[in-house]
Amino acid sequence: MLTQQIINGLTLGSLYALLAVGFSLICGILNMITFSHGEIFMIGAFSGLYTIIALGGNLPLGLAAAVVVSAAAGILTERIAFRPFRNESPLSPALITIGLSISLQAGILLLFGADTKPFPYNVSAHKFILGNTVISGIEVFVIGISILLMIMLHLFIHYTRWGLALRATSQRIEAADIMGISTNRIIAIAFCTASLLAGIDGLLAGAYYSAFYPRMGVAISLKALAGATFGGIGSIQGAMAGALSLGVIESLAAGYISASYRDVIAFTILIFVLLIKPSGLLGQMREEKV
Amino acid sequence: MLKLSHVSAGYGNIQALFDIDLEVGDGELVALIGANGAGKSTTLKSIIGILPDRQGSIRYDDEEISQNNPSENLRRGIVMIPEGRWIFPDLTVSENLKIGAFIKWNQDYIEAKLEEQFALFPILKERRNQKGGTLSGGEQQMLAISRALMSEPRLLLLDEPSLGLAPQMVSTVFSLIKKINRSGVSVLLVEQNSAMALQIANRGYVISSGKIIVSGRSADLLDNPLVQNAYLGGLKK
Ligand SMILES: Nc1ncnc2c1ncn2[C@@H]1O[C@H](COP(=O)(O)OP(=O)(O)OP(=O)(O)O)[C@@H](O)[C@H]1O
Ligand SMILES: [Mg+2]
Repeated sequence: MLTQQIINGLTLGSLYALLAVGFSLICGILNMITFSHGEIFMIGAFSGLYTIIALGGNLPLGLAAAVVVSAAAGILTERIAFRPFRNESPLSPALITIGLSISLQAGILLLFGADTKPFPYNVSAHKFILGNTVISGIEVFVIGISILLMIMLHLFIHYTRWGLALRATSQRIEAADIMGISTNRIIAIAFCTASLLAGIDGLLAGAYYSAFYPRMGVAISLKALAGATFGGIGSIQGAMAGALSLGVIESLAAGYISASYRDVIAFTILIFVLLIKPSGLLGQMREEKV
Repeated sequence: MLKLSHVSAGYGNIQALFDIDLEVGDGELVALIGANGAGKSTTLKSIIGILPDRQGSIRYDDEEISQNNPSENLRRGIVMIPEGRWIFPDLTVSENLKIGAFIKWNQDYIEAKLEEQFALFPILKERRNQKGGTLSGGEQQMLAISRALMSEPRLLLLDEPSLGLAPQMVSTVFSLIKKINRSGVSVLLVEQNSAMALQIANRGYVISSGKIIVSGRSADLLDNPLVQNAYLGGLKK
């Protein structure tokens, strides 16, 4: 029972984590929040789903379609909602991305209808049974892909030239500018990375729940944002840890206390932790020397 | 090597520089001195290319660079060390240095340069894996200078390197600047510490309210009563 709940929680947490690191990347570099990240997730999911259907079950090409469409949408979002307001109030991008999120939901609704579309393949067919714990193939797949992507993201950020430039830009954009770093390009890379992870996540979540619908990104993106804040927004590791903890807490609450109050319980715990440590689990208070 | 003619610049509605003429010759060390808010930093920012509002001509090696961005200027060998150093607080000392050579793609070049800088600044080698933000003020200034040297500059724009440093450290930094200049790097040095700046410089400019009011050989400026009274605290030679 306990291991079962933890496995479920880790699957849920992995789905949150792929969105949460995106919030952290964007917020870390611009100190602004995007409210259309859930819709990037959703259009990634739809482009993946319809590519898979059209090509008769080609999963790799479905993933590729999710990546390309969501990455393009992310880069476009940065151009229209963030770049023009770089040194202005963060409220303008917030307002624009809220509008964008509503329009994208409406657009998909018009194109594909309001009904929930199932994933055309039975992804729970493979099961691993360990004692009295049942792990389905899709859970292994979700957790595995998520871990793989997190490792790739970590390697990119810490061991490549562009990753170094990304960290420098997040810490001190004006200093990165005078070191010859094209900070506009770095910000575009951050959005592109955050968005392609969201797109893959959308396809994974849609397959896991076998449910694709225009509002599928709404609740999950809010929870991912909560997970990222819980872990310490702006920190990639913090976002991962926060999202995974949220998934596990939620799943344990559902299993041991009450399935209908899982969110209430999970958010109550989050809020308490933030009251005790406002910078989040792994966040650190910045002290800056001149 | 560098020649500013009729340069005006500002921030939105605020004009900070009015018709500046200034020159730095090949291998020269030139001081730019003036009171708080006179426009010293703004002059350096106009040259490196981070001010959107600028007019007039800035020529470098007989090429117009007034519309260049910092990256283009860096490639031509112009590097700025800003006021306050602008160290990346959460990058290690090594990473801060590597960013200094960001425009050079070559990994071998960067590694070789890193070793060269570590030989020049043993304290940085000792602290290579420490975060930039944890260094002392003096060490951060060393790091800022060393980071600037990573891309082999030909012209160094230095903004108040002595700011906030203990007197001992100030002399260390000044002799370092002199040493860099002797190795063939031209330097435009902005300082509040006018006397020390003029003592190591070949020539100097005095800026006040965005205008150059006096310029000449350092020795002459040090002897100029107006400069002495206004900027050298009435220093007598
Ligand atoms: N970012 C900015 N926005 C608006 N005005 C600015 C900005 N930076 C500087 N100024 C103004 O431009 C003028 C020149 O400033 P600058 O920073 O060049 O002075 P400075 O000579 O470097 O002074 P200090 O010795 O204090 O560093 C000042 O009047 C200042 O108030
Ligand atoms: Mg200044």
